[in-house]
Amino acid sequence: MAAHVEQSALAAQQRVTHRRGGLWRDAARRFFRNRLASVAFVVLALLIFAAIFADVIAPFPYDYAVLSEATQFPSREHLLGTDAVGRDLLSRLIYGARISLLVGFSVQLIALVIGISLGLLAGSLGGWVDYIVMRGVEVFTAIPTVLFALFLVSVLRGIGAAGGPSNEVVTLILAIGLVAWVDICRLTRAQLLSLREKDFVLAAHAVGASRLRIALHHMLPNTLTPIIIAFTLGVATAIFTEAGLSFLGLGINDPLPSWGKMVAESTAYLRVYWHLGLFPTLVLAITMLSFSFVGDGLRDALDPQLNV
Amino acid sequence: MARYLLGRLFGLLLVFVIVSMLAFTMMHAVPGGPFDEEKAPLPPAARANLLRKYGLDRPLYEQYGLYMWNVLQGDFGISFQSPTETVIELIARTWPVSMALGGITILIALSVGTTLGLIAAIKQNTWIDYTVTFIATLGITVPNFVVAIWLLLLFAVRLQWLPTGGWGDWRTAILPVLAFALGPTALVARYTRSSMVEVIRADYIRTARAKGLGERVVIMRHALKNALIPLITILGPQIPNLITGTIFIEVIFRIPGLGKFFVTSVLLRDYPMIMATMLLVAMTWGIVYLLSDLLYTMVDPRIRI
Amino acid sequence: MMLYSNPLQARALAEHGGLYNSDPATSVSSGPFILKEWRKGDRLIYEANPKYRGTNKPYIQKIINIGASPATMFASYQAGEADFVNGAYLSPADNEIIANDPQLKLESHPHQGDFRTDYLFFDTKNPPFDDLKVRQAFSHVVDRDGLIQSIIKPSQGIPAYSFLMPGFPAANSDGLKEIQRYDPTVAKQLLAEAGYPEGQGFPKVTLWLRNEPPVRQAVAQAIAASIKQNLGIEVEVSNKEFKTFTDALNAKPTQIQFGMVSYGFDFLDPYNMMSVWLSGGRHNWENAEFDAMVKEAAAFTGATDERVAMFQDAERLLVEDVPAVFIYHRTVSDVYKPYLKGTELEPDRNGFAAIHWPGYTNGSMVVGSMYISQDVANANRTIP
Repeated sequence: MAAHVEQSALAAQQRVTHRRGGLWRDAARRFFRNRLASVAFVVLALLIFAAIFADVIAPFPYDYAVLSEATQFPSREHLLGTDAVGRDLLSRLIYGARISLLVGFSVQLIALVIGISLGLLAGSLGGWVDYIVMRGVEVFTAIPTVLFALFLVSVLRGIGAAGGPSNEVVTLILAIGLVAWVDICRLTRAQLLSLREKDFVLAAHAVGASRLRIALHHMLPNTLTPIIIAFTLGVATAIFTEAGLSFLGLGINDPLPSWGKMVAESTAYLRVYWHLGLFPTLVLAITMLSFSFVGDGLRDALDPQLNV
Repeated sequence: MARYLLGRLFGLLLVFVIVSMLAFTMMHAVPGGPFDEEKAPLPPAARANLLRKYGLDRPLYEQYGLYMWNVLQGDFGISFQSPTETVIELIARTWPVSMALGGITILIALSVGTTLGLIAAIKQNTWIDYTVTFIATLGITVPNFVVAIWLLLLFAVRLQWLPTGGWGDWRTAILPVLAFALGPTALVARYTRSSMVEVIRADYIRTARAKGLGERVVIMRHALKNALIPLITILGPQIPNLITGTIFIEVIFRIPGLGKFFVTSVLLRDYPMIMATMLLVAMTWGIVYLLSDLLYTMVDPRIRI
Repeated sequence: MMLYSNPLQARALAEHGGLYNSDPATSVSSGPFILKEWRKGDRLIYEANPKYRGTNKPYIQKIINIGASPATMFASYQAGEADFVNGAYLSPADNEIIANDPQLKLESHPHQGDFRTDYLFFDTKNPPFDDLKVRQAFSHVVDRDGLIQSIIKPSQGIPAYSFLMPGFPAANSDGLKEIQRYDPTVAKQLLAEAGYPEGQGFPKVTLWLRNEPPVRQAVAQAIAASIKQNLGIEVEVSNKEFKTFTDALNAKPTQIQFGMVSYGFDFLDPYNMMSVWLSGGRHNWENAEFDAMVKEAAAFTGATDERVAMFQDAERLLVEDVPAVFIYHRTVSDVYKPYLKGTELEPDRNGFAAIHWPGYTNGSMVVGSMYISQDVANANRTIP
């Protein structure tokens, strides 16, 4: 993210000439003037904090089970109840933030890096570069994630790279991330296409800036909005894809919890033990909502057109 | 234009070949085969017979060559999981169902989604805007299998207004369409809102307002059109996604669609069906991408492709 | 054996090929029902066979077999769209609803299913599970009663301490109950004797499952937690997709170090179940003594009692050498609407009041004397 914020700020700097050093402070000030965005920012910060310090915060270890206390409804002892095995749901949610946020972010980071670079190339250079990149997009959209994940697992096992649990997380992130970039690539390219003939781009051309430089410094900042949304939605998608793959034994193994897995596992219990589905869904929704509001706030804060 | 289209058609062909090679390599590299069953492994002789019958005992490149040769003649083989029909017959039977379900879903997502997004953008940063964002986020975060189960329990079990599943008359379509449409609708609403918000601030909109044009005209004629670019980009890929079906909705509501085969083919190592589904997806997406590229130029004539 | 080998009609086979029974037009039936319609991906419709000349002419004239997801079968049952649901497909929540509803409880008919036993298995030829003490330690930390009460639910299973389910020929459940009993103290001691006090130095292991439904995922997770809490050994549970699991299990030697799987009978003889454990079978455990005992018992043609005793000795050896930790025997509770009546739904001499083996197998259309009573008029039934 940081890189794009920076690029966007750079562009803003070039276009809003009457302000200089205080740009970052201005953006921050504008961001925090937006009350909803501020609240969302705090919520996100808290979630990340909880994920990092889960060991300290969680009332129980995530794998501690008491069989006789299985599927208990929320109580004073277990604030959000217990799961089907008798593990504290709140603790598992807190630990679950680790995997879910890690997978969600990493996958989208891979998607961003690949997607934006290829999208930039395709959208700014056009011609045969565009042609090749877009055929690549078509190939990658046709690959089913499950087959790709199965393939990746067996390949990595063949190389002898897979073994410990951390490698399973890496495999998983790669399996999802390497096919998740197509949306962002297409978005970036499409925005660039529509910007190519805009006045400020033509102006930059006129002063002799190179095509890639124009794309990077002048056009990319203007593609930020759809990319921010795609990123946010992509995080949610990645979290559920992780759950889907974990169900096939291709992802995170129990007892390590993840939100997506908790939601998916809850369906067999939903009719009686509503708490098993409700709380993970709620946490997921709150996270995504915060992402959306922070994203909107960020966009507004960095948008030079607002600065009139 | 003709040259451009020709180039794209060639590209489609290229993608076809690459995808078929990738699919072939991947599915044969993955552990397990179509005849690995629960009971103790098949006697070696029986296994060898089966492999020979399906040509799976030959070298991989030969199998691939044979497959492509048959495909050129319109023969996609017989699915292992449904041996009473050819792959073509299977797809001809199931795809229309998925297309119908997906088609209705797209219509709902487009109409309801854009409306919600527009309202939110016009009433930016009011409680209406926040409510729309809230609902849209919920629509994206709550997975459709959870929504489907809740709808089923409420309307089919508790209230008994609608059947629990099946495919036939309109009553069977209501719940699956609702569950299916929630996500895409939310998606469209989200993108419409954000690109509208951006466009509304643009100079030419301010100019249009200053000229004294009515707010409705400004929004509908000037703003919406320019907000369409990201929408086309995002809705484009939704279309092949939606019309090729979804395993969750189809399984929960007993809909005999194509969607579940995308997953079951891989899980059952149903080679002919894996190939067919991947090629089908490549084809649908290739066409949709082409159409959306053409749409860009129509929405904004300045875009050259 | 013939139960699983359906004879084909020579003429139909010659005229229409091996799949003639899949098409109502060419289907041939000598049983009480005949295939009338197959809507692919949706349903099979059978009707009473007018040419059927056997005993038990069916009262029921039409059977509609709807393919549904396990997740929604019980919902359809409650909505009045299904008259019968196979208990194997009920979810934990469904069973909870049935257990707490007096009427549904009456509609629930438990039986022994296919004498299926779920168990943990080890690769006994490689460390750490080549050590009997390690395997024994694992066998003493599975709290079967707790699992049944909290996860499986009493209507769906009974604790297993040995392989053969009560009611199956040569079963010796009471006699073998103590060998793998739940006793964490003994388990800890055994693990220490094996050289891993408090689990120190024991590698992390992954428990493989074969595409199990939620209820058995929970069983495995609970066992993993018990191993961690009692023995200090980290266990991951990975629910593998079917083909990956099968491929690894059938590989020679097996690639699964530690797994959970089940076995149900094919024919009603102890040899059928016991043969799973013969050397070179699906598990990486070899015991010449066991092989000899089972083979001898199988071929034995003397008194039944004696043969049973021979199999029981073999099973004792199996349980004592712990290539497997037995968890539970599945009982299946099917639900039938109360308007379904017939001798099959009244208790037989084993106390089972359900259509079950023998006579009824998965997919067979024998409903015998079952009929739909007049109560159906008030039942709010809608045929989908």
